[in-house]
Amino acid sequence: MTRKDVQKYWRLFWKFRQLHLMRTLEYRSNFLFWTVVTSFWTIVNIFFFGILSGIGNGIGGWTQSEMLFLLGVFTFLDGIIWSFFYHTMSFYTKSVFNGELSRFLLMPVDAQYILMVHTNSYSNIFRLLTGLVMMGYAIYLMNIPITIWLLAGVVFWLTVGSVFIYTLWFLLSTFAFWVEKLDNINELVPSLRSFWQIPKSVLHGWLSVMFGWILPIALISTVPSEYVLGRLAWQTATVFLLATIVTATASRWFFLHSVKKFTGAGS
Amino acid sequence: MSDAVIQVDHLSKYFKVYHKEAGLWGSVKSLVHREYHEVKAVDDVSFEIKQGEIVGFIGQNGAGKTTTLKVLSGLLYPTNGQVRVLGYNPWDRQPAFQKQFALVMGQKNQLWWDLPAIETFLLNQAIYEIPEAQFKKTLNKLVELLDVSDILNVQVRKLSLGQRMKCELIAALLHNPKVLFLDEPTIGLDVVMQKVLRDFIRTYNAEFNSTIILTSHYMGDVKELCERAIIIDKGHKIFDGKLQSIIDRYARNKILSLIMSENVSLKQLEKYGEVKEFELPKVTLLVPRAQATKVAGQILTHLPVLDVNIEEPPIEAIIREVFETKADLQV
Repeated sequence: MTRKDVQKYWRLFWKFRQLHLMRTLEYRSNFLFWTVVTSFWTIVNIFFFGILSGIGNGIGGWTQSEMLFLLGVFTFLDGIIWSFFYHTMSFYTKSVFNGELSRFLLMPVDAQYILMVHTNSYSNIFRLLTGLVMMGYAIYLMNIPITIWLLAGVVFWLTVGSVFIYTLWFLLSTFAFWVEKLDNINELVPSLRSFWQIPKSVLHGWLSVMFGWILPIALISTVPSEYVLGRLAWQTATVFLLATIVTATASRWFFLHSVKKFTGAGS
Repeated sequence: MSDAVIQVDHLSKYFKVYHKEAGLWGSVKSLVHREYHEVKAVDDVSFEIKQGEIVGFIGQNGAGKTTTLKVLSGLLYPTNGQVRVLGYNPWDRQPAFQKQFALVMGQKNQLWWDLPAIETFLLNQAIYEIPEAQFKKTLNKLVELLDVSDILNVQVRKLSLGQRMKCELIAALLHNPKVLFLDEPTIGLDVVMQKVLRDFIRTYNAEFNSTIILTSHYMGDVKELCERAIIIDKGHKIFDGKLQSIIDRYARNKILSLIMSENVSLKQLEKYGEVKEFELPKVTLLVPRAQATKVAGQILTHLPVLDVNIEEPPIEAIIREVFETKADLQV
């Protein structure tokens, strides 16, 4: 990929954000209603885990402040999920079924990229901001000095977490090419969110092996949090990084292989 | 080496579909076992198209027209055969190729529904990397040709079907494609709008020397725009040649439209040909094609005729005839 391509893709990313903002503002009541609903659910979620982490010695040995940071990571990633991934994947599986994918396959832009960036929702901005504020406030409570390395590490691990969720989800959604209709697959990844809403140390036995090593979704919020808390083991970091590279590669290969089965859904 | 812009060599595209038995029990049975059948949407089709040609792709519903266009666009992966468009394998979906063609489907839209069409045009400028000067020049030209300057800033969902189709065409042509696949571009449009689009397609072809494949259920589109036609039936190509040669071969009769100056009997007219319409003073006769001029002369000599007109039968009727007797047409 050349520098010119990178510039083009960057411009397209923001062009789509601009178009969606314009579209959102066309229906302001709808936008305001969903902003209120998502804000309400974010508050309920934080309140619920606030109560749990205040009981005894916190959750899985994590203190209340540490839990606040982890919940901040979870809330921020949740904002990414509901702002981008859910809309993208819903469109993706439907477009394979009804043939609308054709429009994207004709464009002189990587089809997977355009599928990823072409849509989003703005009603989860409160959730994204809340996640950031929670992370910042937890760092303040724990007296952790803010350095460039800390910020770079948080951004890096949040990016890795986002890529892991996205590519895992994309891999599953790509089965839409192989079966006649696959809408419910988009409920699967959101239903697994509970596993990264808690520290990995909460899981024991086969659950810990399954979701901490084989399909390490329990590391999604734990790894960025442990990095900030200064106790991220290199083995854990390696497992998470490798899993992300594997799902990203597999999802790309699977998409390129599966798109050959696209039927275009009649005319 | 062939100078064809589009080369299709023994192309086949098969789909697997399952047949469900009717009723609830059929649905229950399909949960456990499904019988799949292979549908040959396109079967061993070959043709070549040169630069600047407008070729009509004619066929009944499900004949394989759209499937062929989708393979040529790189949307569908062929089951067998080779396809080259502008020297590229469409399936590779290389940006350099995608910037040189456009597929317009009358039943699908690429415009952003909630926003004015100009926003889609600007998005396409970014996607196709069209330089600002070229974008402005092409947009102005297309807007002028299609007379849509007053609707560019109106939300797409508030436009009429015809206005939307004009904007769809602009969106598809902003990058000046060398090859254009038009799939039912006039579907659902009134006759006035159909004519506007036909004129536009003709002008675009003449101006840019673009290669165009057109599918349409309106034979008027094909007749007005295409010198050459490819007829496809159940996935097979059954004719490829000049549209006029279909008319020559399949229009067995010509139509004689007469306006009589005095009353004549049906029996008098039946001597000259098959009477299709008898509402005096208007009479319509079907006469064998080769004898049309001679018969017209005889009628003028022996009957009180005010006016006579010899016409070809409608192209729809000829094509219907082609499908009914397609065995003779194998090319």
